[in-house]
Amino acid sequence: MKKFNSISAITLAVFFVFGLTGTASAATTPNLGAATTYAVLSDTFNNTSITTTINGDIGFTTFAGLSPVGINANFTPAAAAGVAQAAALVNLDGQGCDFTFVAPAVVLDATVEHVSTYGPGVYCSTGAMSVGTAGGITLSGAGTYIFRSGGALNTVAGSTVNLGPGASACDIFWTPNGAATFNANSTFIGTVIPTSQDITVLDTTSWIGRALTFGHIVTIPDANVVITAPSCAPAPATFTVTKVVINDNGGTKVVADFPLFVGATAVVSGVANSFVAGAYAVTETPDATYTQTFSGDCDAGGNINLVSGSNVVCTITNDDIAAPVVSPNTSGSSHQPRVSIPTVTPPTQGQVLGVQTFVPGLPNAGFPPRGQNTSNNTVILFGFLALVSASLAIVSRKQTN
Amino acid sequence: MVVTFFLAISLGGNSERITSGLPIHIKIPEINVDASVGQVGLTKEGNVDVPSEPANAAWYNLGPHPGEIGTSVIVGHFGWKNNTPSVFDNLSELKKGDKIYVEDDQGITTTFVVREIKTYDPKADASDVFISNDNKAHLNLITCEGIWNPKNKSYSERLVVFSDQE
Repeated sequence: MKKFNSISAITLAVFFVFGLTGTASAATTPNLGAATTYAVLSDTFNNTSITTTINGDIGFTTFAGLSPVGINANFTPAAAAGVAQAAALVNLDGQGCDFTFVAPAVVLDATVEHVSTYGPGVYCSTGAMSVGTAGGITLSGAGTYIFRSGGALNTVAGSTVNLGPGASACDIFWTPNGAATFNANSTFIGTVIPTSQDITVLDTTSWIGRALTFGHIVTIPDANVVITAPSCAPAPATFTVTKVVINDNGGTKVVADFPLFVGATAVVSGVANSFVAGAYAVTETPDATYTQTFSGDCDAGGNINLVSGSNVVCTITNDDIAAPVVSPNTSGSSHQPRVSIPTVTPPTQGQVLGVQTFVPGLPNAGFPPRGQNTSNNTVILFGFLALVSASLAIVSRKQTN
Repeated sequence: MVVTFFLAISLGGNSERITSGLPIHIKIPEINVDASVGQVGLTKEGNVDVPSEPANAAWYNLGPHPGEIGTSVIVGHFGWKNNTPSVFDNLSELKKGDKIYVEDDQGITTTFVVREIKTYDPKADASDVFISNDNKAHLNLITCEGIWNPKNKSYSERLVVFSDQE
């Protein structure tokens, strides 16, 4: 039994270390959109202390108490912020657990599986989740951290959540399926989005993150609470540039002959890339023997404004304008019927299309010039006269005989 | 009637349409052409066919409609038949800038402006007469010109008027 326990403990430790900190997690940071700038987003905001400091937007429909100090604005929560919060929660809850704690309710710095340092990943519990005072926890490594509590989220008085190397407050999320309560003197990091529950922040809590519970209550009943929304770079946009080359006039270029660029960044046709939101120009190394047409989300000049979190595409179609290819002479004429036969339809990403073109011969659209023209009436008249003449000649010859 | 005709021109002829109706009438005021437009395809030799009557023109129906992107072609005779002159007898008198009006079966008139006039040997490569790649609408008029050869019943040259949609 003792051996079994030892093996189990080693197995768990190895699994924990290699499963969570030894390999890259698939966890990703959602786009908070309009909620990004909020430190507090709520239906009702109760603040009873004049010493409360909020650095970041504050959103509520009902306010009770004293105005907080700090750098804050936007006291009316835009519906868009609530929508963005809900979308972010769906995103976070949709990410699979990298590790599920054995105990239903877990104190993050006092678990059987505990190591003091958590790597990026999705951590799940079936019961409540709390941060204790056994040394607190440190989040270390670049990536996204998601703590999904099956119940409430609590911090024990005096507990700490610390940032290790590479970790960012912009990438830490807590999504309790219950209320969130921060007890006195807590030091906390991350964005908290409960599932339809309230958030309470007690005395002298220092929190770098966001309290997002649009439609519910944020309460700060005690003094010296500081909540600061982190300054995060906007979520990148996903942008795919696709090249289509049409060779229907003898051209032989392929997709690779037209290097593609988004701004100064070289991109590969059909491959999605992440770009910081902003205005960009899509360009290519041109070829004078091909026309260039932009389509998709770009404008006609290849310009596009990438919005944070968006996923957009742009297609550049190059059509050859070189001298047309006339098919070999197979009938003694220098020209063939003009028939276009698409060999590949419809266009697909990065494909080169081939079209064979035939050219007809020029028409023979001439009647004889005036004076050399013999009309039908003329033919009939001359024919009739010839017939009469012949008849008269025959009659005359018979009479002579 | 004249007012109505030119009103239709002003409404219908300023941009290349994606699809156009079938051409049914052509007017070229500069050379007094006012003729019906039929349709022709190809001869068994692979040449563009011609209308049966000297007074009529014909649209080459394996190419774009007049007003569609690409080069459409209308053919007309040169010479006399049954003491009747042909529709394009005076085509060579057109000058750059002269206008050609083509009415389709939808009642829309498309205006073209003469850009260039060229003559070709009957056997010449006519790629530039039938193909364009500038994503614009063009109309080329073809007839005969030169010396009549009664043996093969053909003139020595082909006259092509190149025009661009206004």
